[in-house]
Amino acid sequence: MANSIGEEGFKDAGLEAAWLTPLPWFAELTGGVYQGIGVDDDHPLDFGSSRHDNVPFLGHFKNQFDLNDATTLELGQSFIQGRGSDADLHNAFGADLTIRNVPLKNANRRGWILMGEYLQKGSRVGGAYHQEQHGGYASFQVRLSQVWWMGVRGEQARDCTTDFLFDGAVPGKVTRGSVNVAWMPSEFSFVRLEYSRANADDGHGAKPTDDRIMAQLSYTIGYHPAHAY
Amino acid sequence: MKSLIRSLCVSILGLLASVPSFADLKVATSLSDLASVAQFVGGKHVTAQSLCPGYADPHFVPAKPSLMNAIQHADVFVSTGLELDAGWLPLVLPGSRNPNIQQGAKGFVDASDGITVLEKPTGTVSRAEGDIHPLGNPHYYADPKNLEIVASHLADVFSRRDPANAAEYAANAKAFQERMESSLAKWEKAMAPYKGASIVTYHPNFVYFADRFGLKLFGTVEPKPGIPPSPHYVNELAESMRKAGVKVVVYQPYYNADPNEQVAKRAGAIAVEVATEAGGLPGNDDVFAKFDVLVSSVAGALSGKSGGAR
Repeated sequence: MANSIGEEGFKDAGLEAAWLTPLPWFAELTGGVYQGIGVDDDHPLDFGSSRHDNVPFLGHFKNQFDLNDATTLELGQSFIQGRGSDADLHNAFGADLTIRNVPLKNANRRGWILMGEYLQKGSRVGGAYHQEQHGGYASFQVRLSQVWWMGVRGEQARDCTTDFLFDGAVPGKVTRGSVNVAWMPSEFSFVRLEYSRANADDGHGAKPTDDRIMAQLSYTIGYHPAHAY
Repeated sequence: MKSLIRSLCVSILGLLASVPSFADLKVATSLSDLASVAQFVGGKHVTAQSLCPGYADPHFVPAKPSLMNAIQHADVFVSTGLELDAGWLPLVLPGSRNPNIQQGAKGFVDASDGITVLEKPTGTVSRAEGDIHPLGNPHYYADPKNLEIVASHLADVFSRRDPANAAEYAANAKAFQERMESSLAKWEKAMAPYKGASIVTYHPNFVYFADRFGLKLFGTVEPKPGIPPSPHYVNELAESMRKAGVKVVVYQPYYNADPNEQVAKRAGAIAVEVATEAGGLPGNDDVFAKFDVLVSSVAGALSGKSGGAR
């Protein structure tokens, strides 16, 4: 994700509104406008132009269907557009799919989540669209018991810059696969271990690899938060 | 063409005329027992639905967006209160975009209002004690008397929201309370021989039931609320049950049967699956049927005549 369109999230001030449509299924339309200020390499979707007519806007359409009592299908589409520091129009769009199974009778012991998303970034120069970074991921997580989760994930980013490949200078392709296991002894804590391996290719013979092991310990303090679906 | 348009108009008017009349109040709840009580009190003027079916753990309802859709046009939302639904309701209520049922609005009801709450923690509440409820034990619906309080409360709320039918709501609540009183006499008689008997439960959700029928709670299969038992703890609990002569383990359909059966087997006891929520098991569709089945299952297990494998 970060290789394709940069780190997630806007830094800039803005206004966002969401509307739950009256359609028979859950269909939520979100729209937002933001103040585009400052150039930030880590957040290319912030766009960069501070021209007063640069009002980056975002739209997201989320649809969720109950396939049965336990399984839901979610489809989403996102679009964002704004003017960059080069005065050209830049945009990005994405589509995501999630199939989630949470059996009601044992909601805290069983279940699985299959997710996939595709993102593409581009710009419009002189009326012509130029595709820039693009990529996607697919992941599968399964709950084995009340305390154990495991998952696999694969992702590929094309025409992207990456910190371990070419010092961020040359567009290339990065393919990463990872496996993870999580132990949740209580609702308020978990330990997660992940191994990932990435292969990069700049199209000119350089094919470095990157192996990572990550251990994560999380402990929640304070009020019992609601569990996001 | 004109005749086609005329016949279409006639068909549409006919369809509209045949649409059944809808209830005056749409009520949604976070617990099946509350939906059952709401339906008794509301009668033909209310359609009540629970977001949590009786066979699902009311602590862990997946906050699916479809639940938000389901309550988008509700007139009244009845929460169990005491933070039983704190793990999912704070997402579902705002997600519905229904201003009438948000916490603090006229259509939001905390069904625990007026209940004498048991097991209110004193002193510091910490995560070291597991997933405890800081406001006290929220499983008050396992005591029939508490549902009488809920019925009275709901009659008041429905009357305020729908004054035209206030007399009917009051009469329905009174009838509910009378039926519950006579049923309670029957259940107390069935449980009388076992007053003072000890049982083990998976989770501390029999506290109100035990208090009403004079049972002693020896312990829980969970070492702490929300924490699954380790093999060591299962052995320890079984051993102490054996020494104390505790013969019954009860658990709800949404809990893992394995540790309950292991404890019972090692202690020479009986593990019994019982429902503390309406609709939790076949044949207990409303709160009266729920208590009928619950009382007969617990009494049967304590008598040693029925239950799981010993």
